[in-house]
Amino acid sequence: MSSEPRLVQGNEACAEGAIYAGMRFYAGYPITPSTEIAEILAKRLPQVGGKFIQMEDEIASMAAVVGASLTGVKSMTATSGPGFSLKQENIGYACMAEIPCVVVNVQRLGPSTGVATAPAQGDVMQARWGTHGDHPIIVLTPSSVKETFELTVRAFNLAEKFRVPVILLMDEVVGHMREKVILPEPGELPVYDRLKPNCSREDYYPYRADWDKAPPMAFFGEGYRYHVTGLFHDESGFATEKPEVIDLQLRRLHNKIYRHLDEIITYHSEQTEDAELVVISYGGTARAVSRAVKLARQEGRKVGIFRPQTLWPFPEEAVAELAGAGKKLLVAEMNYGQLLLEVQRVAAGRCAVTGCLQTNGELTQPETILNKIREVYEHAPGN
Amino acid sequence: MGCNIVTDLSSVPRLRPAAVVINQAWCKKCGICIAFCNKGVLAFGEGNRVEVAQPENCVGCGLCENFCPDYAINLEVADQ
Amino acid sequence: MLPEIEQYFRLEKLPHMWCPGCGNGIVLHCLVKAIDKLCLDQDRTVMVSGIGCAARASGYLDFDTLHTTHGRALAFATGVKFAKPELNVFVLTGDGDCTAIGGNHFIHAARRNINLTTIVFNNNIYGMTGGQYSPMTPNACRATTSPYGNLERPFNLAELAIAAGATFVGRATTYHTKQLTDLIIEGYKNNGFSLIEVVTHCPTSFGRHNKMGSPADMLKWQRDHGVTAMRYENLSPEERSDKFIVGVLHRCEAPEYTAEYQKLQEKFRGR
Repeated sequence: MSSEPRLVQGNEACAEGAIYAGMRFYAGYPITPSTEIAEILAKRLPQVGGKFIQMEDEIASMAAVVGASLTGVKSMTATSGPGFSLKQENIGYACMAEIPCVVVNVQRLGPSTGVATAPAQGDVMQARWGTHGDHPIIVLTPSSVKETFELTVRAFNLAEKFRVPVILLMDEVVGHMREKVILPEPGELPVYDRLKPNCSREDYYPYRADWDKAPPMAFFGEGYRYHVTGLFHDESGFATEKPEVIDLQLRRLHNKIYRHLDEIITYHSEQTEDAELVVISYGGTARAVSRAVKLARQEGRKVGIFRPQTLWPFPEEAVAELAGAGKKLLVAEMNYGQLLLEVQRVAAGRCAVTGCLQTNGELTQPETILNKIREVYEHAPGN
Repeated sequence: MGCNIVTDLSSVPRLRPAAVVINQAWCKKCGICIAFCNKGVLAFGEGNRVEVAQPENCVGCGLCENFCPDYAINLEVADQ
Repeated sequence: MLPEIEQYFRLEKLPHMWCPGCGNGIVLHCLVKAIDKLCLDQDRTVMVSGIGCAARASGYLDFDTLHTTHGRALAFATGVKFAKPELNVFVLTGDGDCTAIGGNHFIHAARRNINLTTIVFNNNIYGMTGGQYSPMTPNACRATTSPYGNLERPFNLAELAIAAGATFVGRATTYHTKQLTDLIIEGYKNNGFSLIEVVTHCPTSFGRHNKMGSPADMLKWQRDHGVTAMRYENLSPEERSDKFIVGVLHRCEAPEYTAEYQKLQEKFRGR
């Protein structure tokens, strides 16, 4: 990267961030509005010794990413809503088999084919619960071009550290937006690589780990000769149906995430200390919120911003604190209230929680949010 | 025989008597070995247990070992 | 089992879970014999399988083994092979896994001519789920979901592979074990996508529903119905109707995908 500022698109920042993080394998399928990521990587990866492949469908892309990651290569795929739906089974496989990888979803308007080029944030719950069965998941969401780069690197770091698929949940606004940015120099951001076993083959149990940790991961082809399956398995990697072993495995999968929330959860909060009302927002919508809050402050209203960069696990403690302080909460998102549900759950009736929700294919305008701020500020019950 | 492709006998010396050893723990009593033994070496015994009924008839053709889907038969070739 | 091939099995996992008389164990035996004859490095050979009876094969073999999702073995294997072309990658899949839910991956792996040796255990039925008809169930045959006889027509998988671009295609049966071992050897040696279709038998589901007799009877059926191309040529149309050809069915040269990509990478090396 150069230290000169340059005009970069969100999707491009994602592609460059991935290369920065050491990603050297991409498998994908064309889909608007994520396609630029594939196009850029098709060009860039062979230049840096990496591999790019356009697979026959979204399902195959996710499968190839898992296969490649098992050989020790940092791998990713990128898609949008319809493709994200198709990838879900193999995302679950990556959760179960503990395969590090990054799945980018540049959200567009749904359900179904929806509007391919229209912004939306309707995949918040799909990112959380899209694959079947109980599983933890890490979902990061950027709201600027620079942050897209940084969170892409972070997504890989978390994937490698916790041996999980990490979802980078972008949206059309951020993906297609261009901003003047200085991208980080090599060494500026930390880059983490997965732990490998340092024992012999005889002593290697591929899924043996402390109750809240991910086990070291051997690469295929290095002589450990181990078994990987999407079936419930014991620490040897082989299938089991023993309830006590299943219970242990599933608890560890959850503990390795939920016991390390401090390392995973990040958020941005601004002017929340004196605020009577805090707008909770993320991704493209958070940009309009920023403007709306500035205008509200000019009107003399004490309004703050809480912007999670980690959507899942949800920054529960921080939001509970806001709720406990009796601040009114307004959740602005481009859907009919997906994160709103989570905020309501965490607030648990301790404060007024309202949504500023829009999902018609247009980015929510600052005026719309400002009007809602005024309404909630004046009328919602406070402490 | 329906065609001229033979089954895999390459690793077993032909026409040499051998000891047929059955791993009862792996045998699932499917009967393939018995059906393919031309010499009547193998037979179902009590409880459908596969037994080496007539070891002296074995010519070491190896069909039983070759077709056993459960790797439950070993042909141990006697020293000359 | 011959002692010299025991090293390729995870012996502690045996006996395997397949039904009495199931042909899958014979296929696995031949695969291991082929690997032994090829002297492949056990540490650098990967077995990828999907879901179903045949797909359980990977768990019994002592290599890096990847038991994936239903139909997707070839897609996972593409990731493994493309990321590390120096690994030997075998794909073990059943007829339902490969030709129904995995059909798209099958034709595209063949089209790319990626160097994967794919062994399709064709027992004409979904065994694991209890005997439903698959895209390889012959017309009129019975299954739990075709109780009045199958109305659909089966794929000719070999021809499908050839049309899609596979550079080696062979077919054997679990009766023709030497031929099967040889085909796997030939398929491995081919630098490109290789299909080895194995006509195997499922006595529990297919055999029972279609009155095929004992496991040994089903093997004898394979003996009597699988014929060489030369013999097939000399049969009357009537005689041909219930026969199928075994042996090498197709072989050609084409650029292999991972090698082509490496050439592309080399253009940028040193720049």
